[in-house]
Amino acid sequence: MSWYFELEFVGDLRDEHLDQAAEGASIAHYQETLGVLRLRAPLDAGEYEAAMNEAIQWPVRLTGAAALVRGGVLTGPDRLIIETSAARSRGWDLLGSAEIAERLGVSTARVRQLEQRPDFPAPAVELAGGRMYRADDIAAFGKGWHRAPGRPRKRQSDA
Amino acid sequence: MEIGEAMQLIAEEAERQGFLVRQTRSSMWHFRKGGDNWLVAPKDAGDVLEVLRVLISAGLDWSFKD
Repeated sequence: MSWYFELEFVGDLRDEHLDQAAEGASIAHYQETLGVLRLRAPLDAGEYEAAMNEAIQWPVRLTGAAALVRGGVLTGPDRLIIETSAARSRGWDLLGSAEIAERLGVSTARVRQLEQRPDFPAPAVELAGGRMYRADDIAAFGKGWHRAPGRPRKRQSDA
Repeated sequence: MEIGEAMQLIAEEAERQGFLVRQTRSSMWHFRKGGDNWLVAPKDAGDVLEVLRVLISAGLDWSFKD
């Protein structure tokens, strides 16, 4: 299962600290006015208990932030968020195929099939990494989508 | 398109739209807008999409892209 961790620190970081503070994270966000640093990283960790164990180990691997804490530049971590990628995506405006699969209750392979339908929404963003869709468009599609159980019936002319 | 090329494209567009963008000594991308700073080090395509998602949430307009 794909999990996402976020750790929060507080402190007055300068530009020269940012590089060090972000070490080990996939995305670091520093809000200067609040003095809040959020470090995020995805981890594959099986079920919840395994994710908890990984989460406990993760701050140790953030060597840059740990050094800044030791140096008195940062305090914390004072917040730890552990969530699955599906839980994390609930408030998002843009969804990838994994999140769409979760919302529609289908596999990602089925999402790729659905993308071929003329009534499937147009992607909001398309990059080499994949397509992203607006959550509102997917919700509207999900409401109007008639899910017939089993394989689609053959037409008379196909028989 | 490789990860580096995709990030270059995103960085150029973000800069055009008023973000300050630089690469740090450790080759992370640093995007700044107002008091918000994002440092990212995408390793795969999923990470690139995540960066784009974050920047769109921060006001980057990517809607004109096909």
